[in-house]
Amino acid sequence: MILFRQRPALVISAGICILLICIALIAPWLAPYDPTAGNLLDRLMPPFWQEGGSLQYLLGTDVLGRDILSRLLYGARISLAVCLISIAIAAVIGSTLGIIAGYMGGWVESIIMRLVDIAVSLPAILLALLFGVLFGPSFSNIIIIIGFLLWSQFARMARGETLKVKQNDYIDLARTAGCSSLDIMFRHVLPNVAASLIILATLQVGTVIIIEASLSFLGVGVPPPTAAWGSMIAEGRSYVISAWWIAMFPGMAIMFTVIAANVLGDELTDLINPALRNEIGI
Amino acid sequence: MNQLNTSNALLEILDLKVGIKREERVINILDGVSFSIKEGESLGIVGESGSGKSTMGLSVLRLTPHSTHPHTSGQILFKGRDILAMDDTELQKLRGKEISMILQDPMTSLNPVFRIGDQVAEAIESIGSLSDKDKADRVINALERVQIPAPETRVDAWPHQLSGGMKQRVVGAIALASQPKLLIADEPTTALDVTIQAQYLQLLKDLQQEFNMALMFITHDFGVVARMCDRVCVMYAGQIVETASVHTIFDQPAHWYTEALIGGVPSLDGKLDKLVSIPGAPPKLGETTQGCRFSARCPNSKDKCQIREPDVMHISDTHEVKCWYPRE
Amino acid sequence: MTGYLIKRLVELMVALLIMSLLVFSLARLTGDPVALLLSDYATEEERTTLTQQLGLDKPLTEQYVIFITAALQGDFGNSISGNQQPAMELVLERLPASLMLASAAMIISLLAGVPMGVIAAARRGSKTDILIRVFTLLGQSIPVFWLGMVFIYFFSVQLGWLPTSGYGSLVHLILPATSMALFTIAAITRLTRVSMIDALSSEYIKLARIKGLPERVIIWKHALRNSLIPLVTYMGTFFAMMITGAVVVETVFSWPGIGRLAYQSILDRDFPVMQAVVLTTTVLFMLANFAVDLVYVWIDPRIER
Repeated sequence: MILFRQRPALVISAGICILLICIALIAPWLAPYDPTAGNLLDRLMPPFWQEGGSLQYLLGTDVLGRDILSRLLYGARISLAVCLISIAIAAVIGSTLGIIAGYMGGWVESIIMRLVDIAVSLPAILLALLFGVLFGPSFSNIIIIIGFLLWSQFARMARGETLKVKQNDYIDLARTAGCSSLDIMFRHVLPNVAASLIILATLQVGTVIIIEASLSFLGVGVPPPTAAWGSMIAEGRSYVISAWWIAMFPGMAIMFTVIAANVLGDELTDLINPALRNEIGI
Repeated sequence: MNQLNTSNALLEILDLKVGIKREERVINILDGVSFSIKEGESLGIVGESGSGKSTMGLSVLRLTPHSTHPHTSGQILFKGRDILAMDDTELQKLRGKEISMILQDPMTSLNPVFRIGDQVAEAIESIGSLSDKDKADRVINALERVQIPAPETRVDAWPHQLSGGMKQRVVGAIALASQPKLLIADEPTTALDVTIQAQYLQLLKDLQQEFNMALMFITHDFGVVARMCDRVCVMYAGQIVETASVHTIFDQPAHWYTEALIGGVPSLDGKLDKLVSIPGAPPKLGETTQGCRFSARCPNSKDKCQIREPDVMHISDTHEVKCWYPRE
Repeated sequence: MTGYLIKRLVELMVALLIMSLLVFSLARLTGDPVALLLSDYATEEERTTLTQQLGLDKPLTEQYVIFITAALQGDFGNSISGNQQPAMELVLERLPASLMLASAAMIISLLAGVPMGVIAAARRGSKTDILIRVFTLLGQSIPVFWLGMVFIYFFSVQLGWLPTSGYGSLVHLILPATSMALFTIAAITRLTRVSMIDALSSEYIKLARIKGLPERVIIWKHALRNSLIPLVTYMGTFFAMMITGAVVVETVFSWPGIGRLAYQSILDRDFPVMQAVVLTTTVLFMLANFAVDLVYVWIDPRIER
């Protein structure tokens, strides 16, 4: 309770995020309908509070008669899954490379950081589009694309933090004790660097959700008929005037989720290491 | 309160208290400080870190952090007018013109993205409008006065191109540009090379005499005090425990803390970085004690000292001490 | 410093090369353009002729060299769709529109973002500050394409103030530019705010106060000038966002720029245009990054000249 008083934003956003995760996990039991099966007789029905709507389809239906609410819930699963997996992959690969670069130094570091610099100079979305269109939209492709877009940030942060940690005495101690480099990197450096990496990960969540949504919107995300928030908005584009709810609700869902994730990330940064703000460039 | 300048003091501090809020409580960094400085006089404020001496310096120009403002009380009278009661316009007229300050760390005092000449010029501009040529001349004059070699070329230099000693001279030039009546120097030589310290101090002393400037010199180094000051105030845990002339302080320190600091040795080199000689440690910020704050470490502490905070005793016209049983 | 810039230039060249390789190989590896161009009933002969015409029968490395040499002369071949214009021509036609949009968005972002950041820092903790921070939070949490649609819905359809799409006048520019700018306004505001807070707590600002300078001067001259440095460093990322935003925004607003062209060409598997657009965009992107490096050296006196 003291925590709530001192940092209300942290508690509320953490609560919302946990709620969203739970909703995403239990979506199959929560959703009233199958998100991909539509009843054409019930197409384009407005939300229940408008005229023509009914309590059967709380948030209305889309052009194929699919229940918006159910699609929204399943879309949360997609967003959550994409988020977690792609960030995890980017974090693992990026951090490993970053720690190695920072610890080993020399030409190893030069090569890795050069790769990072080049990766950063490539226009991300075009690559994503190319990849997505050419290899076909699919769940695994999306994860690979997003992972690829993110890894350089983790590499940079990991390297920076490793350089700081390297200066500590316990590293020298471990070396004199005969620990191998690999040992030192993963038993001594990693735990100390982990905190800032975790914070970076939380800060990426919001970005990833928007990237995933953008790619789905452009048609290179998770393929239909799977429900994803971005593609729902794309589908609703032609009906902005006649059936606003098709695009509106997924958009709001994205907005709220990203707000919660961003606030949580900010609060965690403040809590654990405010100095990181400058490094991340916020 | 009496606003008249009866004692012809330039600056008079009356019962100044400055506090901050920490977890629901207000902690006083300065707890009832009173002293005065006459025109042209040089007063040393001596204490260890944590004694509140830096806050003392900043308070005169109201540069303490915003969080302290609601917990500031007392009076700071400059030429009879209370600085704490001034509005922003009046304060602005005071700063940099009548009262100026030199900060401790020359490496961070100058703005890295403006040239030296421009930064000095700014100080000169605020005095009055001048022609460009006049301004340029004055800037060079100001730099010459603080003995910066080849000032005509230096005006275009960037701060990072100067050494620590040079930077601190520039800071001095800025502070003295308007020939203020009072200069506050907060440990101006602490961050400088030992070899340059003496030079800088001599410079300050010469300039002080040239402009008949009052000087509030904040330091932890008694050796410097001996060189620079006429009178001394010794601070401990947010309070002034003794005020006396420099001679008296070294000859006959009345407060046990002062005596411990100087070490009872006539040679004037007592630095106060670590009080290894005095057992115990100064009270932590926020620790409230009932009686005298030094009693826990005082070799002469008696029962009364533990219970009641000492009054200020007048040993002579120019010698005051805050102690129940001062040294004879 | 010259050494540093040359190094950067070389890095960018390498990146460009890699990009060209990527584009080239991805295009070739995933799908036969001949099959796309001809109908299912094409004869074997027609297939061979076209393959030879397009140079697709030569070994890959040779194809790549041909591709690069032609590209350096601005020849990317012809678009396979529409009236088969030369690819580069198409790109150059659409370029002005994108530049217009990007510049407008950039100007809006800076004009809105920097002052807001400064004010938020100067009035830290006040209601204004909180309001601005809420705004930045929203700005970074709303997907651009959705916002574009919402804008269209409100301003064009409901209120009828602005046209829904199209290109031509300033009026057409407002909605797309604002949608695109929203995210960057938020980012610039946050960055400026943090840098300003940092600057305002520094010793040299204390000295500026000691000099008796008016608060206005202290904030807008002394503190801001220092805060611009981190802002410039971040501009590189902003350009990246601009390009990203361009693809999406141009699609939503049917803005005839190269972002939309890129998207369209990728969908159509129009290799020549795809290559032309992607490489042009990459070059622009790198030029922008390089310009940022130059500005950064110019603006921070602490870097050796």
